[in-house]
Amino acid sequence: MNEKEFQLEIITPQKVVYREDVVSVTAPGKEGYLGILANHAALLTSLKPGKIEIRKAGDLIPVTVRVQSGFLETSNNKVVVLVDKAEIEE
Amino acid sequence: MASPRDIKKRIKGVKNIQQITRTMEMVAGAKLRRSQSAAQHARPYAEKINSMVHSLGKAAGNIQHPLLKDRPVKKIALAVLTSNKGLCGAFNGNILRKAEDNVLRHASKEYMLFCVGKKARDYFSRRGYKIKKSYMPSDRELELSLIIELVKDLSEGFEKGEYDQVDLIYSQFVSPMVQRPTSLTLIPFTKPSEEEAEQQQRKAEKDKKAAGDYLFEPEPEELMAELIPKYLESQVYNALAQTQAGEHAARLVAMKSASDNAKEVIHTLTLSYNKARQASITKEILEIVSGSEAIKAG
Repeated sequence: MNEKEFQLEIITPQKVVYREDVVSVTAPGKEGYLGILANHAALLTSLKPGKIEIRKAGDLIPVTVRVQSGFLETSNNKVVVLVDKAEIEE
Repeated sequence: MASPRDIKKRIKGVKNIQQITRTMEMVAGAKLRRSQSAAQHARPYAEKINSMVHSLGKAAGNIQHPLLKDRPVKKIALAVLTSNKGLCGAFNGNILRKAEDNVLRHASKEYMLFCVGKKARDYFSRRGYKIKKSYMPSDRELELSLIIELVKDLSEGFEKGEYDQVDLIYSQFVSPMVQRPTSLTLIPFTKPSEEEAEQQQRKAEKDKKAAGDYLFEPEPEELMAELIPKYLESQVYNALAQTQAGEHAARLVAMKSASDNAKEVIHTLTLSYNKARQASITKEILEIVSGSEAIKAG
């Protein structure tokens, strides 16, 4: 598989919850879910509480991270998610 | 000279003190490690939210927000962060002195006090300052709810016009040996210091592609309104984390020197105990000898 990857960071005030190269991210934006792939345009948005779905290269089942409200910024093939609370679902 | 028995009692007392200070030293050491790592883990969030506010401010031009307004400063709100417990050297004293200096320096201006930590509350209420509100953070962990409450109170008062500036006084954690009481203007936003601006610029140059055309969702103003409280929270969180780390570091140092002092005291007391013991033995021998001399002579 040859999918383009970008770096994703999920950060809470307590710690960095997630920091890995991923293929796609789906996040609960304030005005609806939004999907992000590599080379996404620079964007700053607020998030509402919900689930972030992350797909890594070669994985079929996405990783789910439950988050509280926060913000998402993407620029230069890097996505930063700042939330009050984040929990990776098993 | 005190009797050997009295000295022995004192030695025992000092030994007990030493045991306690040594235990406290160890506890403070463990807590320091934990709070230091908490302060470190809080840094990425603070940095990122900082850069978000900057990129939003830069890309969206002039944003109006109640918390960004500069007004002539007549009244100042002081938020003072201290620990709940003492026995940590001059740590709280330094913070409180800094706070009092600020109050005195602006004697012409009115002030309002928000106290975080028992020591700040006790100090200011004892001296008859009026305290607007006080908060008791737990010693165990950094509570987000308390920080959110504090930020909300501070920004609400500012928006209502109860005061025109909010200063945060906390202890900057420089190293385990050095804690620097620091005053930081929280609201209204001050322009980033030159050094900071330069850093931001360098960063912006690095990802030039990103600068400028950001998409915002929702509108920048709405976004700013959400981002600012979070930004303030992260600032306060950072300050509180540093203050707590500083408290444990200060206590560690204070308890270490207390243990060392106790050791010294025990040493000198042991010396004088030995001297007193020797003196009493000599005296007894002298008495016996002189007694037997007297019998011989008689």
